[in-house]
Amino acid sequence: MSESRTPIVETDLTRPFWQATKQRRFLLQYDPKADRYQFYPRPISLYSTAPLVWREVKGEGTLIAHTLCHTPAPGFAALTPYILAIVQLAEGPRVFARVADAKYEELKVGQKMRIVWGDELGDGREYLFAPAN
Amino acid sequence: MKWLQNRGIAIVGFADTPLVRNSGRSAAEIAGEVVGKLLAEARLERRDIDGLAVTLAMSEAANPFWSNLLAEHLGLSPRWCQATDLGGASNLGNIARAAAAIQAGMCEAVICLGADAVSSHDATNQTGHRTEFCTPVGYSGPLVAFGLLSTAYNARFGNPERALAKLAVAQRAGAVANEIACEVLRKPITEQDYLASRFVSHPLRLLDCVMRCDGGYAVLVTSTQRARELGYTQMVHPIAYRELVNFDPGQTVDELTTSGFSVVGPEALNDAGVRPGDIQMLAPYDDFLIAVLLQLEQIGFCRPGQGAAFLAERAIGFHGDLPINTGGGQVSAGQPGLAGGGVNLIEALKQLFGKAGPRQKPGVRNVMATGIGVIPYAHNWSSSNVAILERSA
Repeated sequence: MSESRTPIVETDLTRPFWQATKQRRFLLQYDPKADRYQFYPRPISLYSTAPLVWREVKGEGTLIAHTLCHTPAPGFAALTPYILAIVQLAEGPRVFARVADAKYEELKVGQKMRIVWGDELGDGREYLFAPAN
Repeated sequence: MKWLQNRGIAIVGFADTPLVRNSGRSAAEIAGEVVGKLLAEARLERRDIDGLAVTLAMSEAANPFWSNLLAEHLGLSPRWCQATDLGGASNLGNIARAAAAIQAGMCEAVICLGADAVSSHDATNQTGHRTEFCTPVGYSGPLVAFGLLSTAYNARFGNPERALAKLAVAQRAGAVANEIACEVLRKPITEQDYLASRFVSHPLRLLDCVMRCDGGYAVLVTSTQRARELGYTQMVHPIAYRELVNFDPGQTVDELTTSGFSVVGPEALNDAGVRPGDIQMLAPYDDFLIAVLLQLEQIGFCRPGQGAAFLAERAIGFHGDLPINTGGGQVSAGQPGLAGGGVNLIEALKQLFGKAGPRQKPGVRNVMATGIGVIPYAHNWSSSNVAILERSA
């Protein structure tokens, strides 16, 4: 029996982010007063008391860390082993996601990455990383 | 809490249970066992206890009234009662909170209690980024977080696997000599066994990781004055304590490996007026072996990137010049859920009270114990705390 993936249960706070993923757009919260972006979505700005706005970003960044996971999360058994990574986006925030189209041995901390979109959730909402070139 | 250096707070007793995988017991049953043992060994009545500080239990995580339920289960009527949710840092955090409550006059004698049966039953449900932004995209547990952290460290400083192999072997030897360690882990290993163990989240190996189990402990904290009135002659003083939650929220540190220990480690040493070289033994929180190496560097025992060389140079076994986690640590004795930090703490107390049996380091006067708690989003860990414990003269 294969377990299914943990469903994404969006909240009022995160709904704009998940709605945008359906159009394959990646949004960050932006604090116009502090001129800082943040991710994951928070109830308030981490940097000032200014109201946050959502901004679409290109999804380009730098590989901070990666691991080859042999112990799958629910619903990921068929993909195992799979690569998980933390990428620091050009706008500043770090994002955690799976890596597509790469071999673990060939990835190097510091290399350029970009967000790509996967179809395995059935609605195109899965954001992944791939080497930028 | 610089006033801790006045040695006005005393730990006068402790008790623990064997660590057992899938015991089928409940956390409350484990709590009853350790509190019963502690009261008997400390020759105290329930009426002498007016404070209770507990860790949460993963096996009881759905119960929002855990500390009060334990007081009721155990027949205690505290004037000061709390549950601490610093994750693995809660255990050491409770010693400091008990000290603060005693100092503030809220109570005189506190039981700090950790009991968890997480390997028999896990009732946790970490809402927030874990369920929304981690598990759905492939996060399968702390070993992913520490696999990421290990890669970041290796890219900066080189792979410390030889040093971690030495640490794994030393801690395992402690567990073999420790009657409370999980039975399944009480088999000696070699550095080759460590290096050959399978990758669970590359570059993290199976023998880098803790195994969950069930178990608990209790520690009796009071004022030094009250301890003397009660007739205790042997006591251990916490002489420094620092903690930090959610290190660097604004992400000003541009890499993954620097943790809150870079702040609280030097602060705790400074509070106690000691240098790293004055510390005679270490009981660092070890959910993963790489965490021990990072703490050595960030507390100040060696420079960043020098952890592997430091471990290679020092004799870290229980008869060595700088013993580390002499009872096996959690990696080799087992991690009883949120009571896990108690494994490191209780071994430190056994050493300081001269009750560590075959693992005893003769004449040890001080031990540094630490705690780590909670995996944040795309960071290292949330809670970091450090205590320096000293045997009374």
